Amino acid sequence: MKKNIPFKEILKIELEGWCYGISNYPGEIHAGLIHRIIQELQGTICRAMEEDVEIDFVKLGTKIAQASRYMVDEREVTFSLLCQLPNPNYLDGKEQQYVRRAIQKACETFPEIEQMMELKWKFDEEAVE
Amino acid sequence: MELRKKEPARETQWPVRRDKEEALRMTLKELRNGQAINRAEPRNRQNMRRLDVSARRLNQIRTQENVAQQNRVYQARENQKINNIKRNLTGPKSSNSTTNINLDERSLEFANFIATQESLEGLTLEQAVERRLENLEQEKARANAPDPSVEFSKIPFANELRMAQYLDILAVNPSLIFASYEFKEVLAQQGQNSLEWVVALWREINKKRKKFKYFSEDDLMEVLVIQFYPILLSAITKVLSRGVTEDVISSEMPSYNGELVQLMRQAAAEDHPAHAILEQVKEYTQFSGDVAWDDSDLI
Repeated sequence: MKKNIPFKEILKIELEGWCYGISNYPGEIHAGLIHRIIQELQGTICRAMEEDVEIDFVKLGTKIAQASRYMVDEREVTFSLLCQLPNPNYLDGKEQQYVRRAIQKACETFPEIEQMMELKWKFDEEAVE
Repeated sequence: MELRKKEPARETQWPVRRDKEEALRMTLKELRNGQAINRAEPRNRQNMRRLDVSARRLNQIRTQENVAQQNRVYQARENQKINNIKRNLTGPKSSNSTTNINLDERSLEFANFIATQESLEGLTLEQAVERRLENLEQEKARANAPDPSVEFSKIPFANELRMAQYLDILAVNPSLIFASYEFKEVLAQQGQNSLEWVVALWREINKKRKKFKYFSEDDLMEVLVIQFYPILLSAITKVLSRGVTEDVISSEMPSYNGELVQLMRQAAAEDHPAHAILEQVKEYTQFSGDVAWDDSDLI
């Protein structure tokens, strides 16, 4: 029988699955792999945004950094996770607030994140041009 | 003229009239006793059932209409979002003050460094691994150096820029921005700490770089994921043991079905050429013990 698991629980298990994988990686984990995994999480993060499920990106970033034995800086992981969210300027209402809230919360720990996100959006625009 | 004799009015046959009267009497009696209602009930029930079916069908149609309407609204919103993004993608180049920034010699050197010298762009798997091994040697030598605080100019943009060395090809924006941001911080004392400067630098890098190659068979990533795949399988086994079905994994957990996992599967095949290269890389890696699963406080 199919068990109905709430999205929040699924999200938790999915993220923890990756943390477990990173933790058990033999030897030095390549930072590129961490970034690639985070990239893969884009769909999940966007769904969490749509479902309005709050993720503590700093905590998640720290956890992933810890799993990678700090081969990647926690600030960098947090930033990379936030990069998976769309540019709030192209969102409206609830989703826009979600992204802004996430960035604001991350800024409490890493104040430079906001400027970095602005930089990222500028780069995105530059890259397209 | 002989008048026709008027025929006496034909009497209604008694039994019929009697039947009617009888029927009426019986009905009245039944009505008094409540039996008529009972007799009418099956017919009413039938009518009700018909009404019920019609109402249900009507509701069904209304629901379908509502769903269709919601879908239309959702689709319109999605299209709007896509259009917004497209407008941004194809929109005219905004006149920006950043275009006029002239980069100094050092910045140009940095841009060149990222764009050409240490990028994995266009390298074959073997070349990428060779580059990686060279860098590991350098890092090792640096770690063993008696004085790690080497002069900034002697270190090729130091540890904080290692992202630029390896990751820009794998996760272009986050890594490069991070590296650029760090670099901006480093150069803060030189008066170049501005957003415009970093954007100008980015433009310079892009000028030098012909194309990005994120993900292909020649990427170093294949070597990296070989060792990850068995761990992922064990993670999925753990996920399944938590009551999550395979259907949920395939439908609700997109990251376990993405390109990376596909690549892991391919690279995990024993005859894959990346296995031989992995042996070389293994010399530089150390095995660590198992780490427990702990999903507390993530969300």
